[in-house]
Amino acid sequence: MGEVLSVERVVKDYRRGTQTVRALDDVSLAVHAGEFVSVVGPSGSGKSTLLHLMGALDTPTAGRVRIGGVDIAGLSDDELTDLRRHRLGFVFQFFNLLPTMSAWENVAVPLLLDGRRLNSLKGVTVPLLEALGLGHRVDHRPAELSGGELQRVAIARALIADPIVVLADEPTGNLDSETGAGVLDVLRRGCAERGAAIVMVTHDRRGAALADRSVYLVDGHLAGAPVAS
Amino acid sequence: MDRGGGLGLAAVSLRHLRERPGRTALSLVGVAAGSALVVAMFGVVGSFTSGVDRLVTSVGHVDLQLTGPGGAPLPGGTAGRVAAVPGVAAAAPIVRRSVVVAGQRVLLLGADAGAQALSTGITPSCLHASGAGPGAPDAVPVAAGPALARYLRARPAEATTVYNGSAAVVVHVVATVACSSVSRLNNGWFVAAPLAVAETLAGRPGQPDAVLVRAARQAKTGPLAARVQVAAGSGVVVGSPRQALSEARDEAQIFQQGSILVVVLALIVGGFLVFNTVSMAALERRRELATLRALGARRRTVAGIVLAEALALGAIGAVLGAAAGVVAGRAAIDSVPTVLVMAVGIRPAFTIAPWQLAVAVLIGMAATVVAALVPARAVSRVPPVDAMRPEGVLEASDAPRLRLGVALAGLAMLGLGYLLCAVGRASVVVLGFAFQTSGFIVVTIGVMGPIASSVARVAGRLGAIGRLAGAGLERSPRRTWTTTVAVVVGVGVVVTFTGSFENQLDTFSRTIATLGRPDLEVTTARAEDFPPEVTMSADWVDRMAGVPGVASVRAGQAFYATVGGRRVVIEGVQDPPTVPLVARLPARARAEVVAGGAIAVTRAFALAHGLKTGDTFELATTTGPQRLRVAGVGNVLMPVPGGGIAIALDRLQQWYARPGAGWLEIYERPGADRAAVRRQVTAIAKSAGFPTWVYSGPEILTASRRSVDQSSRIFQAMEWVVVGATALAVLNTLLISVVERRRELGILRAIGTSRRRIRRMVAIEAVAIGTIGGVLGILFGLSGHYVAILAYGRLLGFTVRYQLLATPIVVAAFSAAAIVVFASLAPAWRAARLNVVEAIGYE
Repeated sequence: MGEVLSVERVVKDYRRGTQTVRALDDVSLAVHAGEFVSVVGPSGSGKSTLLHLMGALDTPTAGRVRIGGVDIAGLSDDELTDLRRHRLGFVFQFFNLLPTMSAWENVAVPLLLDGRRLNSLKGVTVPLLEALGLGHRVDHRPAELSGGELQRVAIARALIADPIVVLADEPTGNLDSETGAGVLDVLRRGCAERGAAIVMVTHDRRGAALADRSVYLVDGHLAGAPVAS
Repeated sequence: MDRGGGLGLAAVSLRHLRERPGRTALSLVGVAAGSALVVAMFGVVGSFTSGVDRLVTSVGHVDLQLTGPGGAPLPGGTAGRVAAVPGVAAAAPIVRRSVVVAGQRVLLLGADAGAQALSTGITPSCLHASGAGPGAPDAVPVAAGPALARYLRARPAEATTVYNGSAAVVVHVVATVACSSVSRLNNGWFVAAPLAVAETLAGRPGQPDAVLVRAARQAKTGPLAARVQVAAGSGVVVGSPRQALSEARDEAQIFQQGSILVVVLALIVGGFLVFNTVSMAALERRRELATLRALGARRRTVAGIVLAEALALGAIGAVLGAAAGVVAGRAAIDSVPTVLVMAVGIRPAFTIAPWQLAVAVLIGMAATVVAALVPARAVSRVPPVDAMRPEGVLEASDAPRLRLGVALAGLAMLGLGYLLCAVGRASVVVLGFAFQTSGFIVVTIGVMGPIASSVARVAGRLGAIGRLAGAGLERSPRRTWTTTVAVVVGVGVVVTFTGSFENQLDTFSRTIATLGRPDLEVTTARAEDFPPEVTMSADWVDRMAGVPGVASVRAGQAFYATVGGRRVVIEGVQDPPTVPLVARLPARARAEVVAGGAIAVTRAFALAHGLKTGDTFELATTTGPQRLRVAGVGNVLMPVPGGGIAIALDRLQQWYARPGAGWLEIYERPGADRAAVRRQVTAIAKSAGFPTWVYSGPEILTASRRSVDQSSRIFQAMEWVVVGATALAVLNTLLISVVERRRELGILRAIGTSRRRIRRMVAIEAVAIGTIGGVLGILFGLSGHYVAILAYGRLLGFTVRYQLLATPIVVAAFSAAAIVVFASLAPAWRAARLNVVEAIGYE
């Protein structure tokens, strides 16, 4: 299976006043189509920074990032934005649903951003929500949903535009273990059905165990070679 | 490609306005205030001009209008001579002048069958019988406008008389004019009669006030006017029938120019409120907007969402404001001082055209969108990676800094504003004021960091909880700045307008001080309704002089006239003159004027005609043009922008065919029984067939001041609307800041900070903001005060003496305190009532 996402020898530095902090140092990682990769490590290891670079949310100080074969270096902000919209899906730790929109409207956001009309999208988003067990909650607002339901709506939003990779940042970080397990199961099945790869940042070992492989970050470096689960 | 998904998202994001009704309402107030003031201004200005326009168009199809100089009646036979001129299709004499009926100033209208050729609006079918019983045998039958008819029906026992300045004639109202095209003339306050009857009522049998001319087809107006002038003679003014409309526009200009300054300020404040609200709301929704960026929204889409919300706010606020403006405009028209109504010569009725309402709404919407541009651009640059950061880390922690370039740009705007107001033409003064106001705000943007640091330092001096409050203020320079500048604007408005109104009143009082010299004064109008156009006949001087204790009596007169195409006041004086325009001249110039060899003119008149002391000016009179030397130019405020001219009273009476006096100045003998003199003078005055007033010297001064005071009340009302809007802006921002810091406040409560200390922390923030905002606001206001004085000078042709006063500063300080106390109560209460668990878990 071909590579859908790769980072090659990426370095990311941050300035803190007069000091420079190196968050990532010479990290390389390739993700293949349909693969589930977990990125594990203690706090401050650089796993979120790695996810930001892989999601084209930030740019590396050095090294190369490719998404769907496209090198993001030199792309304009609009080009990066379009790339994210068409090729990537995001699942955030804090759900990040828009509070004034219902569940189905939140799922429709990536398609809305693509120029489609909202009132034509209910028929597209509702079946996906039903497939994720939320058929009875499609018209509810985020304030009316439980944590697990919120994250499932977020997963539906991440999948609606058929991304090649879904990037998940601590998706179970705000959930109890049982709910978290259910959400991970939904995420894995949803991506598998669509052939989308998953890159999940987590410090939850049980979650990491569900992945096809895990990579371990320590102080901005990959610890040893990638290890198959 | 993001082809337009922003539109759908923008529509959905408008739900935010509904979700936060309180905040939305607060934002609407600012926009509504600006639009309301625009509508009120349009309505009042339009009311002056539409009333005159109605009068002008009521006479039908007219190409030329013949009048006497200064409103003097035309010689008999003028219409006949003009009708014989080749190219004249019709020449109709009319009566159209101000008279007093049952104590009310009304229009007297008269026309003959010749007016039918002009297709006038007044036809026999317009007259409805009044149903009144037969009047006195010698009563003259007349028709009345609806308002006058209603007024008279409420007073059936009183005999109705028309006083024309020299005699009172008993009349009987036999019909009411009911045609809608005519019945609204002078708001329905008029009396109409056939031409000959109207001329008699006016005291000028055979002498009409004007002759209206319709040109024959193919006749060109220019050459025809020259031929008509020759036929009519040099003592007649041949002009456009729309001259009165032009004069009304001139007069309305005073109000318009003054109110434009306040409207500009209101729009800036309204726009600032929107800027404030959009900025704070964008900060609060940072994660939401970063999420949209992460999901693939382009920068312009995010900016478009913010602008769409601003546009919706602007549209709703502007429409509500327009409705409020109609109500406010009606109230304003009812409170326009009589002196300004008389200056136009027509009672205004509130009128606003649909297009003016639309323009006011568009202006409100445009101001809102412009104000939202900067925060929209800022929010579009929120990095998408912020979608992944915890809430407590999200706020833009731009360290306080000095942006020298921005501060210098603001200073440049301030300087340009001063320059335009000091030396620019009247047409750019408003622009100058806008530059000055905006420039100050831009300077504060440049020094945002130091402002936030100063506020933090003040808070830090108020105990341990104050140091905590200060840390929060310094960490959020943008939020601190927006709240502080809201206080700056509110306080600044108070200092600017209070100071400039006080200076204007003070200068005016100094210039009219000579009016208080007579011991008593008898006038035919209230002192604040200058000039008194109704006159007392010449025998009144002797009657008053015959009162025991009276040493001497001097007469004076003043009236409105058109000179050089503009409406001016012409004053006639005797020696020793008390009218400020002559009394304040050097002795030699004064003597020249009262002797009849020269004139004195106001600064506004001199500016308009390019005159200075020593120049010669030609006055059109009924006896032909009179060339007179300008003996002096006086800094005197007149009710009309055209200014005024003062000449000897006997010249005025002769040249404008206006015998009699508008007022009598009475000087008592030393040792006279003052109370007895006043009693007898009053008894004689009240025996007249028309209203009279008796004043002492000090009373005249007090009453004269009242007219300027009344004129400023409308602007003062506008000023407090602006202050109210800024108080709401501060409340809005403090409330948003509490919501934004929910987690931080929750943590403080969790670690043991009492509700009382939380309230104290919010109150200390408000006090610190109020202190720095108050100080800066006073500086802003002092700058605005000076510029407003300069602006008055350019707009009114009346130089106001600038004086730094303590009162506005004290009032401003209290206003700052009031704003801060009012604005901090709700946020402090809300902060203290936060549920700790929810606040800590707040996302």
